[in-house]
Order: sequence, then structure tokens, then C-alpha cells
Amino acid sequence: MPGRVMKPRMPSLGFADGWGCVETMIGLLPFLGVAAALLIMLVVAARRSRGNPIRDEPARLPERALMDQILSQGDEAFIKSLRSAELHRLFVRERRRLALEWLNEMLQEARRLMASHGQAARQSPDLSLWAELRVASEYALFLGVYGTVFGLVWLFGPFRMRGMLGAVGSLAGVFEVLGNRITSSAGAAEHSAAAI
Amino acid sequence: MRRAESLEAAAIRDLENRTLASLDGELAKLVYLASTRDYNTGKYRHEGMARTFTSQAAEEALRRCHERAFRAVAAFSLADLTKEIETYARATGNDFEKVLEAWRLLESYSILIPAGCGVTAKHTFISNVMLALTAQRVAAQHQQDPCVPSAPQLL
Repeated sequence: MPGRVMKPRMPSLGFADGWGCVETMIGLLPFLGVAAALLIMLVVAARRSRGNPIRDEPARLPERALMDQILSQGDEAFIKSLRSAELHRLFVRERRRLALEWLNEMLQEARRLMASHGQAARQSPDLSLWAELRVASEYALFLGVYGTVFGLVWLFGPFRMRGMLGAVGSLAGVFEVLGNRITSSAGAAEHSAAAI
Repeated sequence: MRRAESLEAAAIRDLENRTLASLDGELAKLVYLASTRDYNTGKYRHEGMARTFTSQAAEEALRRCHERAFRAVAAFSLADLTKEIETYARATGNDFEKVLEAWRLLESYSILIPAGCGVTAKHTFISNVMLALTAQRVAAQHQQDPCVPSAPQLL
């Protein structure tokens, strides 16, 4: 028909004719692109997590001796012997700050170990639900004790909380064992993978 | 590999028996060893040791001795650290009070910490030196005027 103006067609989901099918495909392209990008990211992340050297990251918990030094009764006696209230206040403030920092370092390391453990567990072919529950309960116990001790040290200072800080130190030992278990299991997994 | 290790061990022995043995106190050793480290690169340098052994063995020996000296000083009680700082300040040959004042103002002791030291260990060392310097000043003020019972001005 002469003079007829071809109007641009609106995208349609129907496949009544060939042009409609092509239009639909063009409309879906951005979604397909996003899906492909997500797939690539997933593959890259999976490859990265498989290649992570868990074995090369042993537990690096802050030393127990450092906390003993922070809570040293000898240092407290020395400062008291100088009979300066201001110096004593400064000493208590500094030691409280350091005790909280030690606790914080412990928490960071426990979190890192749990993340490494989760990663190792996901790759493990013989996952034990019982063992995983035990690790989770140990972590929950640690977080509970940690939170209580952190609050008490913050409120009352480290010297009145010597015993409780010792309890956190003992729990840290549990995480050291967990860290060693993770590193050794990662090593064994790599061995068996190499044998296959 | 074994040759490198034996060179390193020989460099450590040489450093301990000759240079470090002549220094009075653990703090003086720590200050000396930290001063052999390049502030820009973090690498240890000692021309004489590099000529006798290799530059790699010299660097490793200095790094290990630095870490060892740091652990020794960091483990001191506050009372011992206060005495050690006094011994060091007197041994420098400069005015005793001026050396301590410079340490307080410049906090130059923070560069004595080796790389790879834990965050809490690093902050504990800095805090302990600061407390020891303050305790030394309080003790000096007590000696000057024993009748003053307490609360001299700090920092």
C-alpha cells in the first residue's frame, strides 16, 4: 500500500512470526548476559576456593604469655610502690586497653579459623555431621565466654578478671587444636587428590 | 641450601661474639640491631658482615638477632625495663635527662619493633616503654623531694 508508514513494533513475547521471535531474543539478551556473568563469577570463585592454601595458614592465636604479662602482679606492685595515683590510673587504663586488644585479636583468629574450617568441610568428601556440630558448639561456647569476659573487662578492668581471662585462654587452646586439625585435614585432602 | 644455613649461623655467631657482646644491656643491643634496618625498604644492611659472609646471610643474621633481642626486652617486667632504660640512657654518653625527654617526646622506641610482630605484642611493647619512662620520672621526682607523697604531673 503506497504511503503506508511502517511503525516500529513493540517487543512481544509471542512467537507468531519470525520477527517476533528475534525481537524476544534481543529483549532477553541483557538477562542472558547477566546470567553468563554470574556463572563465570561462580566458576572463578569455586576455582579460587579450591586453590586456597589452607595448609599454609596455621593458627596464629595471640600468645598466652602476652596476656600473663599484661596481667602481671609484679608490674602492678611496682607501679603501686611509686605511690602515684595518676601513674596507677594510667597503668590500669593501658592494661585494660591491651587486654581488650588481646581478646579482639583472639576473636579475629577464631573467626578466621572457623571460616577456614567451613571451607575445608565443604570440600571434604566424608563430612561428619556429629563432628561439625561439635565444632559449632565449641565456637558458640567460645563466643559466649568471649562476650561475657570482654564486657566484664571493659566494665571492671583486667586485674579483677584475671581468672576469667584465663578461661578465654583455655578456650583459645581448643581453637588451636581446631586450627591444627584444619591444616592437617587440608594437607591430607591434597595428598589424596594427588594420589587420585 | 646447607651452605647458606651454615653461613647464616656463622654470621649470627660473629655478630653475637663481636658486636653485640660489646654493648651494655639488652636494650642497647635492640637499638643497635634496629638501626641496621633500612627504614624505606625494611632490609637489614651491614657492609662488613656482607663482605665477610654474603649480603643475604648478613641480612638474615641481623633479622634473627633483632627478633631475639626484641623478645628479650619485651619480656622484661616494668621494673626491669625502667632500669634497662636508665642504663641505656647513661651509656649513650649524652645528657641523661635529655635522652629520656627525647624518647618521651619523639617516641623513637616504636621503630625498635621488628616486622612480623603481632599487633597486641607491638602495642604492649610501646605501652610498657611509655609506662617505664613515666615511672622513671615519678621515681626521680620522689628522689628529689621524698616528702611529696604522690601525684606528680605525668607525661
